[in-house]
Amino acid sequence: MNNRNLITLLSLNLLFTGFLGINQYLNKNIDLDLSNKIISVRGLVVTDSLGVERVIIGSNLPDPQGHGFRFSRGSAVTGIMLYDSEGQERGGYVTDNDYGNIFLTLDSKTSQRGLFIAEPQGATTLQVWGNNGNKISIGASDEGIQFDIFEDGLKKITYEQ
Amino acid sequence: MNNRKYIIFSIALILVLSGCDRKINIIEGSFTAINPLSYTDVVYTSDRDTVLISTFNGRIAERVNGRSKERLLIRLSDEVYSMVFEPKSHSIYASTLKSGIIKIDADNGQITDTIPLRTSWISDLHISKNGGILVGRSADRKNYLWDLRNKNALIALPESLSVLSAAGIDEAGHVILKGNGKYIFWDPQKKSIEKEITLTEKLACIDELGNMLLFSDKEFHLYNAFADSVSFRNRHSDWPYYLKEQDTIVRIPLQLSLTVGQLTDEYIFTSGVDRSIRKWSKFDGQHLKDIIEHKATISAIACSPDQSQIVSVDLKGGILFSDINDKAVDLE
Repeated sequence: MNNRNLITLLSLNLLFTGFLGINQYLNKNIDLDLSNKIISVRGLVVTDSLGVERVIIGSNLPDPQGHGFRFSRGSAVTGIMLYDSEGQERGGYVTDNDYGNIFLTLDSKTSQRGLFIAEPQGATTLQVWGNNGNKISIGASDEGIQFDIFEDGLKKITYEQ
Repeated sequence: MNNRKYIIFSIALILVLSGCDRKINIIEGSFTAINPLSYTDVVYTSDRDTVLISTFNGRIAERVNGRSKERLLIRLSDEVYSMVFEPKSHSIYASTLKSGIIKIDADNGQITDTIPLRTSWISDLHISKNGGILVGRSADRKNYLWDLRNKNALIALPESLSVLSAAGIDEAGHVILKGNGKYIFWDPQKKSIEKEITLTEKLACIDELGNMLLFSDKEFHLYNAFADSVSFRNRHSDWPYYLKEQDTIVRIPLQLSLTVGQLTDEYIFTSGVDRSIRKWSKFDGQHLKDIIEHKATISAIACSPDQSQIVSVDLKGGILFSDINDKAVDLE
């Protein structure tokens, strides 16, 4: 290779390397703009400033925790779950992975107190209750409608058709 | 010579290009649904003032009354729910989500033994006073009784009792089983039922005389073993709620659920979702004192072996040592 070719080659090399170096410097901060993208994930966790998980969107959702322990949900569910500042599960909007129910639940600090459920065949029920047997239940399906009020576990008002 | 230059040039070009290659690593998270600050259990490791605490994120640490910092004993890559202390070997047994029961040296934090629990986990462990029997009930509703002096062999319950739930161990080493509206005290040595009590409420604590502190949501009952009846029942009178904006506590006339309680020689301590600890006379049920220093639901409470102090921990990492007979309290 003569000197001319070598100089040409070195110049091109210098130019190319310089371009890469400048390009690298200008793009050292990468901003990911996903605003116009569809993102596919298995889960999303929102934590508060202390690292407590407050919202989970996922499949499957983890088992709930009690006051210092964890207990089994009984079946796997998928959806959105909300947690309070102590990390306790307080309600969710989920579907189960087997039977085909969809639930909207509201929980106290110790147990579930509200349920809005639609079953796969279409029967839909809204129930709210206390821990002492007080309960209101409203339901409707293709087969009929139902309305019950319980006080201390005793049925006070009922309507069924 | 020319070939060598081309080779050097090619290598240099590859190095430059590979240096420009950018990889974006996204740190993978996981669903835990836990509060990493929460204390899940507390046990005394000395007569008073020194305890071990556990957390959902696997931390077991020593806390000493008057010191604001903890001394980490061990960090497990697992959730820890319950601990019991065995003073003779100075070890703790800790129940975990995935690793079963782990025996840890309370001095140096070394794991000395593991009892596997393949399909589930135990939320509440109990150990006999002589350190011979470990009891727990798993989340998939199976009772586990281990003979710690016989290579952790499982002790089988009679078929008729296997449907009941293991709820504790009394002073004499009888396993307490709950179900069908009663408590059954089963002797694992004699393999026989020693006592039956008709009670439905949840057992929170049993003292050395067999008196039982029972919870029924917001209400507690004291079962008197000598009289074989419930002495009295009561509930927290209100919810002492801290108004941050006004830096004051307002007493809301509502009762919240009870979570944990403790019996001492003379007193009953109850605590719960209302973040308060109430002190009651064990003899007549008289309400004696409110301790309203915690800022979160109280998750565990323990009495010191010398019966002079209680310690309580909460779901936001608060710990409180309270002298049983004094009014002084100290929240860290």
